[in-house]
Amino acid sequence: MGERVLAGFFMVFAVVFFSIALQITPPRVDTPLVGSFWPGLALIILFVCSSIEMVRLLRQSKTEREAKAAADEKKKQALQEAMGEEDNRNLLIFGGFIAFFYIIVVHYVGFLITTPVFMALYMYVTGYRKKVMLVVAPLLAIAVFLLLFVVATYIPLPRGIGIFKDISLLVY
Amino acid sequence: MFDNLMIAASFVVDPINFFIICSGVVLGIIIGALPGLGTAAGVAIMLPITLSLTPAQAIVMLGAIYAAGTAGGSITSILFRIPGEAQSAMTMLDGFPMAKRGEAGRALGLAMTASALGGVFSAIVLMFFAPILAGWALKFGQAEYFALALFGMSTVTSLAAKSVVKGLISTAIGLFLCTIGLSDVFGVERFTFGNDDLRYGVSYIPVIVGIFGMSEFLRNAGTVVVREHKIAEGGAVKTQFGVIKEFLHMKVLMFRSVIIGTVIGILPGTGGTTGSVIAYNEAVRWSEHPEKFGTGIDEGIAAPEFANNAACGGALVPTLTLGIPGSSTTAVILAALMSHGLTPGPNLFIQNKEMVWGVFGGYLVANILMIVAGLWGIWMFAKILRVPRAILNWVIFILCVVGSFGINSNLQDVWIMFAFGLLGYLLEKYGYPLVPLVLAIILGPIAEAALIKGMMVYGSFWPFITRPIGGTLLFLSVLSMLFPLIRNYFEKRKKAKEA
Repeated sequence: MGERVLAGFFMVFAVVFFSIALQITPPRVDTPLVGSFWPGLALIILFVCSSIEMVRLLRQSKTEREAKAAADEKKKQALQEAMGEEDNRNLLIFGGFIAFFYIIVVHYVGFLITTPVFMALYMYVTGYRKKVMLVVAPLLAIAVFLLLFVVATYIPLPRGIGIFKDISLLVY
Repeated sequence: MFDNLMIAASFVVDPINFFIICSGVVLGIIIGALPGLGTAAGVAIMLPITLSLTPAQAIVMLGAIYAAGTAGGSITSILFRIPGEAQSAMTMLDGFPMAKRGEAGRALGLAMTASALGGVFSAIVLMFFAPILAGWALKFGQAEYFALALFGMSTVTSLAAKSVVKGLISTAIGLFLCTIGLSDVFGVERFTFGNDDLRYGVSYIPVIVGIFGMSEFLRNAGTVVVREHKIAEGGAVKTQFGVIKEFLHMKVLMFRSVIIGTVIGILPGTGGTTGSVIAYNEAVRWSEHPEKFGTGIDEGIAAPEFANNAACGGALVPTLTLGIPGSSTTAVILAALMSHGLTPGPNLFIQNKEMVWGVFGGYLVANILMIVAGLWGIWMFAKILRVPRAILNWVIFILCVVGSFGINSNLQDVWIMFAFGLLGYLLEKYGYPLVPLVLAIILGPIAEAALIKGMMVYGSFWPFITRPIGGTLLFLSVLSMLFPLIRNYFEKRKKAKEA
């Protein structure tokens, strides 16, 4: 199902942006090709290939699809068995959300406070329960990050706004 | 030549440069050893951090991470039977059985030394072969540049992807993305929707960091470790020095494997994994005792390790001389070069000669240092593997965020990184290759500019086909796209005959 949605999305994307590409203003100087040529070409390739992929997926019978999915799953399980790992959909969704909210919060609160707090939260949700570990690891991590980014490589970090900016300015 | 070698030597003896090389080697081995974090992702994550360095220091550091990461992948292959890198999978076949026999130290010593020797050989090839190739490429016109960019994209699309259609979809997405912004050639805005930030185009560093780094974070976030791995021989590991003398008995195998690795590395779209598989197979084929392979013998560890590190130097040859990356990691290194305002290609060897030779020298020293790191540092790297997965994964995420933010000090780049992380995760989940996308982002503008300028100069497309080098490269591009179809046809015919 997901594969078909993705192929369908690419088809729609190609059509929408191709129509936008046609409206690109022609260059002021005389050139053998226009500005819409290259993106238009890319979008045509995208549309044609996505359509081929979609047709292939639609032509697959339910039995074929199930057999392929079962074979893929078996292969994946064998690999995960060897690696000693297991899939966890909830943790994947949590990973996506925590990353999303981190980027929102870091703008207001700054790197200094957001990073250890979110790290402790991430560790807690992924199964770490030792209180010492949940406190020490994030603090140690932020110290190493500051040393690496502020002292060693002079990379700018988000400072936050308001009072959080004042706090950040005390450190970097 | 002597002058150039002196430039290389003066670069590496500088204490700061030497420290950067050492850091690259240590980081590379750690990145390579961590299962789930490939060298491409590792180099992508470290790319923004290297922006504060000089171009030569940045490329040397990334090159050292690339070489050491390839070697580091063998640590987990041997100790835990988990290849840290796909190219270390062949090492596992004999490395793990040897470790199980209680000779993990010997296996690690063999793997690290073979990697280093393979890397040193390819570094020497890089030093001598790259300037020749660059000199030849100086004669290239717009037709050749267009054909070369197309050749790079087509080989990666057809060879690196399991499905050509999916490879082409990835390429098309990359080609489209690089058209966003103000066109250099036409002076018109494309897909900016009135947004001032988009006028400068989509910066490829957040895109690359997202595609390789953020998607890695998501993948790791969705997997939990249910079983801790035990070191095969059940105790502390100490790499053995004595194995160096074993290489004297493997001269022919070494020569054959490094040649295979270097040549495979030079070809765009292939790389260390293919090199190590071919080198291993050839080692079995030419061996007097092929039945012993897979039981834990020296040749079974050395052959793939010679080849996969030789492929690293090989992949850097077309990257620096022609601007065509030989692997996903060199595609990221190419992006790093461009981030420093340098244009990869033959002119690099004239305009930035000191930088190029500094990189060569640094890359050679990085490979030599790998022996030292491998011999004395294995215990430390094995310990790092014990750091909880959640902490390591969070570190990956923070490096992605800081790396994207640090370029222009704005959160828009972080959001771009996040969006491309999601896209990269989805594409990989459904079998779409990521390398063609990245390559198209880098080579797309080169191909477009060369096509337009060439058409202006020649007046038509015809000379693109009739000029000898350009025409040959275009023909090879078409051939490489048809290659999977031809291969499928013969495979089907073979199966039908067998049935």
